[in-house]
Amino acid sequence: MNISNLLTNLNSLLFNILDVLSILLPVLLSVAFMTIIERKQLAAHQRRIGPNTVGYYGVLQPFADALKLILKETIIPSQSNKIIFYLAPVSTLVFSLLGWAVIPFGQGIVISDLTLGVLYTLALSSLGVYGILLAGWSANSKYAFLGSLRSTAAMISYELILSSAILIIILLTGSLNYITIIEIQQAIWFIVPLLPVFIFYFIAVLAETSRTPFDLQEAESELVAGFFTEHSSVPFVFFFLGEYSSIVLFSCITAIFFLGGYNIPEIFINETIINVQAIVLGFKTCIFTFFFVWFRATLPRLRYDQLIELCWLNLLPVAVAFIILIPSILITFEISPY
Amino acid sequence: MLSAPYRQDMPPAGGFEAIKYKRNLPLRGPGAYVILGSVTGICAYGFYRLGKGNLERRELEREKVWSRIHLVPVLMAERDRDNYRREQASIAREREIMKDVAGWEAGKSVYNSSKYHESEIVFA
Amino acid sequence: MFPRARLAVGLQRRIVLAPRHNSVQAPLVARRLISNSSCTNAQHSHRHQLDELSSAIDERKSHAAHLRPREFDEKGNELNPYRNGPSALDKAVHLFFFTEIIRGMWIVLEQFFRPPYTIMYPFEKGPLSPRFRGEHALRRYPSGEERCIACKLCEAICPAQAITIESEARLDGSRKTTKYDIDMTKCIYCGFCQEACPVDAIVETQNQEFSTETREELLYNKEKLLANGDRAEAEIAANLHSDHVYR
Repeated sequence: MNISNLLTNLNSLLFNILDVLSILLPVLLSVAFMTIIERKQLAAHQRRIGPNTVGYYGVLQPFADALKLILKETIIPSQSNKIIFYLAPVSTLVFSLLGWAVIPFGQGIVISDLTLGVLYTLALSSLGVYGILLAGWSANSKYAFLGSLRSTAAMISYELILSSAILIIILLTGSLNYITIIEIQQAIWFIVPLLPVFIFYFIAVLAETSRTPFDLQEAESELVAGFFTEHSSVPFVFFFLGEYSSIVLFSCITAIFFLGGYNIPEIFINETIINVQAIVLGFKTCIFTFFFVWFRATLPRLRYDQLIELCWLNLLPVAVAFIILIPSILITFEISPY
Repeated sequence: MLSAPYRQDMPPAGGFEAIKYKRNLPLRGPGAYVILGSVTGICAYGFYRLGKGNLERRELEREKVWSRIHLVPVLMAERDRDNYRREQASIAREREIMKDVAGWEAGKSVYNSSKYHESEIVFA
Repeated sequence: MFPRARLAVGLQRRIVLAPRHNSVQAPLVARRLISNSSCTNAQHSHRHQLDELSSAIDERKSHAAHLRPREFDEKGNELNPYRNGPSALDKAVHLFFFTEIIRGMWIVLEQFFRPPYTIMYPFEKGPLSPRFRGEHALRRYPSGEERCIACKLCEAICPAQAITIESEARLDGSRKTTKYDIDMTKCIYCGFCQEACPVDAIVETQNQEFSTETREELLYNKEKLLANGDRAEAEIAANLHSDHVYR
């Protein structure tokens, strides 16, 4: 190989790594700040103030938390399966972060504009369940194992509802590509024709990320800490980051599916270097992260059997009903996309 | 000591207000028909806009397909003319290079049939 | 300001000026009274509604009671006991569109925009009652003579047996203690000693922030208690004065 071929390859490799880093670093920062946002917003809902000592107004709290957790001692149960013990939190975090590869931050500004982007996201959310299963299994503790089994069952149940809601959106758009879905929402944001679908989609997303009211698996009084009881400092950091990363990821996906992604009405033509569309997407993501924490502040937990019953007996018929209704409407009025 | 004025902690003037102990959860908010009607209305408006958007996309797709139908033969013919010219130029170059070699037929196909096939060798 | 009571060293009497207690200075000293602190977030309505407690259930029931009649079958069983309740469509809509949950969430959202109740502790402190039982102190008379006459009533009544007293006659013949120890780690801060004392010698001040780094410093002896008393005499006297009608 001559030197120019090598330089070309290296150049493109470098730009690929820069692409990925330019998405990954802000995502990690946003995940870190999501923790402090949650604490401060919960405190505001409860008429108190959250952490306010560390930085100005408490903004350096996640770094203090991260430092404390890293300096803690990592305890590994001696009878546990050490490979899987380390692999589980890593896989949870990795699958959560991989989902950001298909999110568009502007017209065509995406790491990989897959034609089947939505399928990629659904596949990753299914793979994320593996991390939880392996974590509970490898800890070699009955309670962690029970917690992980319950968590797994809840997550795979609600993936059905999630997939049904996403299927309805795909029916409206005829494409699995994220940018196409966003472009079709220039006509009308999908939350307006699909308001009931948004309701059960949001419930499914709350259950997928194991947030209140569906977080019995992590409720401290029940099973100490659920499936990550035995994981201590750095493995715990990965679980924690993975959970908050999936919260931010699903908020972003909800903003893309229902609220128009990066669309804004054509008030002005933006010819500057500033990517207004990414800011708009970020603002819409913030709305949904606000919703996540707002739900946590309001609702009590559901017991585990109530959770499963809600999914299979109440939400699944609703989802199937809408899967039948929406194509009927599309066919009746002949407004399908092809 | 008793003659000195003092201030006692007393209830506010007029007494405390009565404690409400009875259950009071009034039914508020719009009724069922209102909610259902408004949701149906919003969804109907949404589907109307969506339908118009989808019809517009269909027209855009139709425009794209027709423009391809019109344009592709022209572009193909142009490329074919160019390819023929380049092929003839390469045969001419070959004839020029191999003119001293006996028995060399420039541009001879390696196959025995006379069907047209594109050249496998591409000159950069 | 008013002059402090001076420390009586040894047996000499000194003439000191009595601290004045009038109603202007009492709020200045006892500024952590609960009744003085404002309660901005409570809403007191100044009407008397002692007999108007209603939950409107009866009105609702009576309003709707004429809508549908009761039906009975042959045996006298009631066929439609739920005739005045919500209809099936009502129930379905409230189930699928989460009406009550949204109402609850709206309340929580309103709370988001209201000011928090938090007090920044070391910099701002909450109000304390004049009856607050904190660190102990031994008082003196205005003339400088210590009040404690070694009657040992406080030692007898202390539930935790935290007080230890030894007494003998002082050189001028009066009955005083030689040793008066309160073990603050045993003390339960119940205030029985200050109620039992016949001369108001041992009192509890409003100070709760006397934590130390060694345990030995918390075993108070007489000098420490007397010093407490001399430092906080004005405050103690004001608190006692505001409560004396109840003691």
